[in-house]
This record gives sequence, structure tokens and C-alpha cells, in this order.
Amino acid sequence: MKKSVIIVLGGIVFSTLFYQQFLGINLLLYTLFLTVALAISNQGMLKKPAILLSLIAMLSTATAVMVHGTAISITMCLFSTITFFGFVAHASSSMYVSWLNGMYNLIVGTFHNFLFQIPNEKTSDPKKVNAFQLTKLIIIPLCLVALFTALYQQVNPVFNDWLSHIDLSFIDALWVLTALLGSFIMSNVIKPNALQPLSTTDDLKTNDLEKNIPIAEKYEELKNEMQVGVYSLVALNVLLAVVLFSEYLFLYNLNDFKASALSQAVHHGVYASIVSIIIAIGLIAFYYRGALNFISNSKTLRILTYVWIGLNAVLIASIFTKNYLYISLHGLTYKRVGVMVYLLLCIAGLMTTYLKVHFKLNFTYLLRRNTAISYVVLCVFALLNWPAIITEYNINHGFENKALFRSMLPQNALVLQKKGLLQQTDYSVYGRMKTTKVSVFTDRNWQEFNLVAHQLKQQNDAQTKKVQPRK
Amino acid sequence: MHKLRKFSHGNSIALQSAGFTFAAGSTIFLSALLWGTDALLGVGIVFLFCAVFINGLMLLGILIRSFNEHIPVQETIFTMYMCLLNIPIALLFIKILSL
Repeated sequence: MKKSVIIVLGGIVFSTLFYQQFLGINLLLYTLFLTVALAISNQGMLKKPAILLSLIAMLSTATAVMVHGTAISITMCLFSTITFFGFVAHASSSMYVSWLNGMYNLIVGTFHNFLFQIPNEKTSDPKKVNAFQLTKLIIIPLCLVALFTALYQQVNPVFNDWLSHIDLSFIDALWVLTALLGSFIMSNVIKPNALQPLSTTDDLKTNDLEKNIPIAEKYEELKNEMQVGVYSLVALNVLLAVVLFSEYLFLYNLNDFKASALSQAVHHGVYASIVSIIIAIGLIAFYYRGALNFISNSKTLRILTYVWIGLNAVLIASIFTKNYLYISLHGLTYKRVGVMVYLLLCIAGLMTTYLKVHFKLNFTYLLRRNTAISYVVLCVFALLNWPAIITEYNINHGFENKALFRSMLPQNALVLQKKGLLQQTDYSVYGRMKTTKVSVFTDRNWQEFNLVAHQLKQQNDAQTKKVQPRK
Repeated sequence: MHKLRKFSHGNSIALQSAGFTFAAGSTIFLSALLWGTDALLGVGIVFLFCAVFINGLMLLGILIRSFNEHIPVQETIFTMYMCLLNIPIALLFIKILSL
């Protein structure tokens, strides 16, 4: 019965918070409700560190939605909620398995017992009311009566007249449908189940490589592979060293080049360099996939690999410098911040690759660590109000680009107002909400509460009061 | 470990059709998002009409079979749900592309 109450409550809360509302504090309240509901039906879940961490990620990104509500914060909040469901289903799983578990429960969780032919738990107490049967007893006859009443309404005017005296206008059909959707979501996630055999297989897979000392016949084959690896890495190290030297010359003599050269180097060079780093990580992971890790005379290959990882790190530093120079010359944009995030992820990728080679770890380790690091970095990225940061930086450094500022409204509205630019910036298109009124963003219900909108409204109200003449 | 349920032949085809619709629709959506050509949007619209027609027939088939054959109610509901799930996904794709 407890489960049924939570499911019904879940529907009512969902509809109250989200029906015809923008996203704001409602997302934070709903995630809090989900936490309480899941903690009640999954006793002891909050003692597991993975669940706690995903819960912190979900609540903090939901808070970011309430504070500024950027698209990335909304995306990461939804993503974190799925991760949280996944970890509640199976706390010891890898990040990517938890995403699959979370998606599975969100979409078809309620059908789990049917899909995997698990017999339903029978109630030992015969007096206990079967909640599902009770729900069917109420809902099915109600739906049938509503359907046939609508049909019989047309049969004769007398019946139609009787019906017209019943006022049901207080019931909003769409509100009820939204509540049903909320109840369905709640019934899917209330007791999350892990996908099998995927979760068990993931549990059994360790991060260490299986010690695989090659037999005599295989040894020769492996020696040949190592030889190819050594030659390839020598060539690649030399090539990268030459590229890095040319990078140094380019950056040192930057004034000799046209402004378009730096632009070209940043726009095309950055992406090419990032792809080259990803391929480098893939190549190292391929060479160190098995028995090569356990050969006694692989010291040269190892040293060459470490050198290549180091040179790739220097390449990242040079890309960082180019991007930084570009920002200081042309200002900050979302894309340029994105490049910084990519570089951070590349550094993390190189570090995990080094650890993989050094400690003889497998590819699963790389996958596990890198997905977890990427997720954490994106969560932290989502917490900050980037439109406001970008706008403030650009105004302070003299890069006033009204088209850019307009594209980042309304999250940067406060900064623009503080600098006296909001009235000058044409806000006929408020972000992606195509509206001609600022009030659409500032006049919000309690469910849609947003800190930026609230502060903007307060400042607008204060200004209006100042302008009004005293009586 | 519990075994995955085997669905009746007709429902299995409907599930495969829903899965194929999702996979093909997602591919067209991602391609349109990456390259954004009008030709791809045209392909998407034609695909959408075909998918609605074929999955509509599948839904009708599921309903008729549920009356004629001894198929568990949950199996019918699950199959219909998976077929109908493509509607909100298609609406979401259209919404994202129209932004």
C-alpha cells in the first residue's frame, strides 16, 4: 500500500510542479521528492557512496537550474537523475552501466518483473488489500462510465440537459494526464532493478589485466608486434617533437603572422590536435591490451610511450596557449570555453592512459575512469552561469558584441543591467523563448522561481518606483 | 538468473518494427542535426509518414490479436507502449530541430 501511496503522490506532485510551468525551483523540489520517495522504498540506499555522490550531483545541478537555468544545467540535471536511478538499481556498477540501468528503469521499469518472468510477491496477510486490484476497481469503471456518458449525451436532449447541470469545469483533463504521466514515471523508478546479465558481468570485470605470460610460440609473434610498436612510437615521437617546435616558433613569432592565421590555427588546429590526442590514447590502449604488458624486455616501448604521453601533454599546453591568446584578442565565447573543457578532459585522458600503462590496467579501467571524469567535469561546468561569466568578461575587456549578448539572454540579463546595457541590447528575442516582453521571463509562478529572474524583477521594480513621481 | 520473456510472434514483429523505427529515426535526426540539409529533412518527413502508417497497422494488429488469441494482457500493453513510445520521441526530435 505504501508503494501505491507514493505512486499516486508522485503523480500529484509532478503535475503540480510541472504542468504549464517553466523550469525553476520545481526541478529541485521534484528531485528532493524523488530522493525521499526512493529512500523510503529502498531502505539503506543512502549508505552507499556511489548513490550519495550521484544524489549530490542531481541536487546540485537542480539547484543550478533554480539559480540560472542554463541549457547545460538542465541537461546535466536530467542526466544526473538518470545516473541516480541507475546507481539505486545497482550501486556497484560502472558509470556507463548505471546510465543504461537508469534509462531502462525510467522507460520500462514497471514491466521489469513481466519482462524477466519474476513471480510477483504474494502478500502473506490475507486481510491485506490488493492495491493494484483496488486501483483497477476504481479506474476502469470510471473510464467506462465517462466514455459511455459522453456517447449517451447525444442520444436525447433530456439526458443532455441533466448532464449540463453537472459542472466539472474544475477538472483540467491535461492536468490529470500530466499527473498520470508522473505516476507512471514514479511506478517505473520507485524500486529500480538492474539489467541482467549486464550488471553482474560489469561487477565481475576488474580493472586489472589478466596476467598473461606468453608461451614460446606466441612470444615470437609478440616480439614482432613490440618491434612495430617501438618503430611506430619513435617515428610518432619525432614527428610530434617537430610539430611542437613549429608550434613554439608560431607562438613566439605570432606578431609576424596575420590575425587570420591565429584564427585558422585555433578553429582548425584545435580540433585536429584533440582528435590526434584521442587517437594517441586509442593507439596506446591497443598496444597495451594484453600480453605485451608482461614481457620482461618491454622497457624501451614503455619509455617511448611515456615520452609520447608527455609530448601530447605539451601539445595540449600549446593548444591551451593558442586558445588563451585568441580569447584575450577576441573575447570569450561558449565555443572557446568548450575548447578549455575539451583540453581538461584530454589531460585527464592522458593521465589515466599513463596509469593504465604503468599499473598494467585494462581497457575497462580507461572506459570507467574517463566516463566518470567526463561526467564530473560536465556537472561542475553546469553549475556555473557561463552566459553571465562570458558577458562580464567581454564587457570588462572591451569586447561588446550585442548579437552574442542577445543570444545568451536571459541568464546574462543581470550583468547587462548592472553595466547599463540591457536597454541597449535588443531583447525582442529572449534566448530561445520567442517573446517581445521581458515580463515573460521575470513574472513567474512559485514553481518557476529562478534567482536571476527574481533579482532582475526586484531591480526593475525598484527602478519603476524611482521613476514614478511622488504624490 | 531470470530469463527474458519470449513474446508471441506477432508482438515480436511489432517490437522489432518499433525498435527499427527508433533506430532509423534517431539516425536521420542525428544526421540532420550534424549536417542540417533540406534533403535530410525531406527524408525525415517521408520516413515519419511511413513509420506512422506501418506502426499504426502494427498497433491495430496487436489489438486484433489480443482479442483472438490467448496473449497475456501485460504483453499486449507492453508491446503497444513500446510502439507508442516513438511518438513523444519523434515530437522531441522535431522540437529540437525546429529550435
